[in-house]
Amino acid sequence: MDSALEIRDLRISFSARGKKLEVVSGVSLTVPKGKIIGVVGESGCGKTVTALSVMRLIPEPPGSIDSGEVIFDDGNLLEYSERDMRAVRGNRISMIFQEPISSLNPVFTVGDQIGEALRTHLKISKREERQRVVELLKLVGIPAPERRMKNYPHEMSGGMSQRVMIAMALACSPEVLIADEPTTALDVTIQAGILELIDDLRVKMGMAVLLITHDLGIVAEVAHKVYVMYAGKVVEDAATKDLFADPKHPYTVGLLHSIPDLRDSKEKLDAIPGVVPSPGDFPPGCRFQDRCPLVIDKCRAEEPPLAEHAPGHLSACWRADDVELKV
Amino acid sequence: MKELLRINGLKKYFPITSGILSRVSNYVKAVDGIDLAIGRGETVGLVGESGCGKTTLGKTIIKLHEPTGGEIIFEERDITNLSTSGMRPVRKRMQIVFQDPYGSLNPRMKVEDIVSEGLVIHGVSSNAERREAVRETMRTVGLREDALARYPHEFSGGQRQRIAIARAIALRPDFIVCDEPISALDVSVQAQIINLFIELQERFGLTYLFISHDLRVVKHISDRVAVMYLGKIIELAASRELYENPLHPYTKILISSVPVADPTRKREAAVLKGDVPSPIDPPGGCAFHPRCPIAVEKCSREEPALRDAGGGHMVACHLV
Amino acid sequence: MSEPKSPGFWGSVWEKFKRDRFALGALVVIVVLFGIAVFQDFLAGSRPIVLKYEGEYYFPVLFQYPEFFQTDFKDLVKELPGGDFAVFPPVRYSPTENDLLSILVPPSSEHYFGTDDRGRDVLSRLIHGARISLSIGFIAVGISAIIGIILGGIAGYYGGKTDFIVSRLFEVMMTFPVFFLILTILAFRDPSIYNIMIVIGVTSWTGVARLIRGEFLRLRKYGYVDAAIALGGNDARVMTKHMLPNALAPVLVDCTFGIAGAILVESALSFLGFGVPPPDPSWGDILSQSQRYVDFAWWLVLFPGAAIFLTVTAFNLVGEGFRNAVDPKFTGDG
Repeated sequence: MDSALEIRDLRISFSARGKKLEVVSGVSLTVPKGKIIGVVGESGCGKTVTALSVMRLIPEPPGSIDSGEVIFDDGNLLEYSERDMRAVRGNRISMIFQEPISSLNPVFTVGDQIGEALRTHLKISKREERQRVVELLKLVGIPAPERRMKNYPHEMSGGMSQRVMIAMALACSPEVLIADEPTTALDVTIQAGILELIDDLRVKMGMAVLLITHDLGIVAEVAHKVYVMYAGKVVEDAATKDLFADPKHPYTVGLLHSIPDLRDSKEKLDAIPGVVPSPGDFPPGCRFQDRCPLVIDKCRAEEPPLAEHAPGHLSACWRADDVELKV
Repeated sequence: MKELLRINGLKKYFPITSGILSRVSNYVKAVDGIDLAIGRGETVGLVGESGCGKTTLGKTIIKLHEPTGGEIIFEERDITNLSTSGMRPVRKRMQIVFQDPYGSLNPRMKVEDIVSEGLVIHGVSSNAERREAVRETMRTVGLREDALARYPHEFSGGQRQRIAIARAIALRPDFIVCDEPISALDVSVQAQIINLFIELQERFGLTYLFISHDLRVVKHISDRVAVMYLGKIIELAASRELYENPLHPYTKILISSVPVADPTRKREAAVLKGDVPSPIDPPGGCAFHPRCPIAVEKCSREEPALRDAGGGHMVACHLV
Repeated sequence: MSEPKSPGFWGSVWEKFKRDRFALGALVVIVVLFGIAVFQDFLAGSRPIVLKYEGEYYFPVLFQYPEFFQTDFKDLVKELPGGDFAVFPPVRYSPTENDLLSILVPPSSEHYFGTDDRGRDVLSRLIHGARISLSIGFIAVGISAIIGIILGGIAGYYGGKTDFIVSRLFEVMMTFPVFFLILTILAFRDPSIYNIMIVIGVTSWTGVARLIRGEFLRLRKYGYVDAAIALGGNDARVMTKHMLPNALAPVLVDCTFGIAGAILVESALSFLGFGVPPPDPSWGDILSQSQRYVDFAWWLVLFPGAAIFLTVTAFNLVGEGFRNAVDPKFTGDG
């Protein structure tokens, strides 16, 4: 499989009050061309930081990328100069964020902002720019684009703003789109439309998409392959079908049990006890040990490696073969 | 089931002022004539998209907003026009838990003072008894006693929500409005808090109005579910009935939009066109008709009433 | 959870404040000024701190003794018998003591900061002026803070029509040029210290009122305010226990700047002759004398000017440090 983007053994830390806290501990993931890759995890698992590091948007200090590589187009993005990086950012790799409203500049019209993305990277005339903006707005499903491009962000709803953000991200036909919780701030009816849009555009433009979310439901609907992250590490990595049919990490199972299903009713959920440990408080051995129903002595002593337990299905658990999904 | 609370034709309009003299130019009709009865020990779920007025309804029912019209009957007593002091004994019986676990706890107060505040206001019990009551409440919501001397910012979102729940149940109320209480939490923590709500209901016989935009959660916890659109209830049914047999086209779309954690079950794409219209100037007739996939001419002319479509399944649609 | 006891909001504000060296230095200056104001009689005055006279101990700074009624201690100690002694404050002159033989004397070992046109010791007057300046600053700001908090709080909490009326009152108040308003009022009233405090206080509350109103409008939307109402708390309780503590930090910052402003206003009033009435010492008053002798009596300009500058700067620096320390952007508060 041809990969569009590959992250290898990435380690990122932040220093706070003189202490250095590792928030991403050796994450590797591959985004193949033309596929949607889901990264699932709860807040503090390191998924957003990982995405930001690809764009080289981590503030240094307090952050620092301690080791690892981000391979894009045969080069390591982490070694790019700021100038080279600018040519990649927004042009060949784009990113959309959770809060569409605050990601748009309130003093410019949306047309200006999309045009800006075009002007920065492509040498085109004013007329071509206008034409392209209209096309893009039409592409992301905004009705009456000629009129809408003259609107300011506050004149648009959340769903519309997110579509504008996507249009901006797509302005230069990027090879990779990083979507960080693109629908979390939106209503479900709008969420469905945005996810569909991202998937359509992937097919039309052949983009690779790195979709970061906390919602397993979203992953199940659009992603081809899933990485589950917990406390700065990838704990499970599988094709979407395999992950949901036969999860091999107790954390993944816990997440699946935590979602109330539309089919069952008023009974207690199998919740994961406790809370996610914060960086600096990670226990030795497996980081999930204190919340795990399958924990054994070995988990407290030795950190399980991410190993293959079925073809193409990796899990970082000593008891991966004992993990079972309750039906 | 005995009725605990009933609202009749409840309305809450927010004036929009303009000009230097603050003249009222228009109204946001956040809650626009809602009838609803909630039985003792029952959980009624309230779903709808942002801006549909569900939070306003929750706050108006417990009189955090003064109703513009209609009446609120709590335990067979009309509380609609009670004054602040007249409300005080009623406040002991009805509480609220909010969405934002960060904004809902006073950052300058210790957890002990937060949880005991209701007991202090209502002069319940002596100091020593109050301390014991607070400790008991903390154990009930699954928090350790050493949390009492701390400030809210030292806790995670889930723990803060437990503190907010402790504050709400400290007075042993009968009725709690849960306003998106888990939306801001992580998935694994959401499940813990849902379980806590279920436990508390079993233990204290609580009655909930559970407001959420997440249908999966509302379905899970509720006995009956009401769907709101632009300040009105458009469908109300037992929760299983509503999910298995939705009647209103909006409810159908809402249900089909929920992502399901099962890649083998591809849902048919039912994408709603357009956005929720402004509640300042809602469309005439059925408020949903501009977005409705099956709307007919009548829908833009005449507003459908909420009526029983059989077996207590209420729906407001001309075409059902 | 076995961490140390949590510091609370003000504890963490202090932690952050301490890191700002300028602000901390300025705070030390203010503490020293306070010390000077409190112990002024031990630092400058014509009465001895301790006196042993005919075998008995006396503390003339602290107590009035009938046997020394109208005694000039300086004459008395000239002929003390053996074994008796007197300990004077470092500056042996009272701020009101005229010595017509030494008018406008430049700084010397006798008068460290020189004398003014009535032969009064400038250092002694500066030391005694500190209490007057600080009390005018604090009491005037206290008055304006109380008025501002009450009016701003009512406007922000109740909103609607109440807010409309009270806000118009702010605006009317703000259209007055405050300094000239003060001058006008003082032209009709005795310019006593108390009148000056009250006049500055009742004319400068709009800043605090607007801040509190804004904070209250913001806090009104917070869940914990709704929760307190839902628990049955009355308006007064909700305002004082839940809103005011959370709105206070920016107000206190504003007050710190306000103290500096009030001290400056008092100096300006005294300079113009509307200030603290003679013979009470005031920094502005010393400065006003210098007008006439500015071409040679540099000490009448330099020392009171420096005292005013130092005090105002110190309060402003503390205010600045305080503002950074309570800024939610740095505290992660919310």
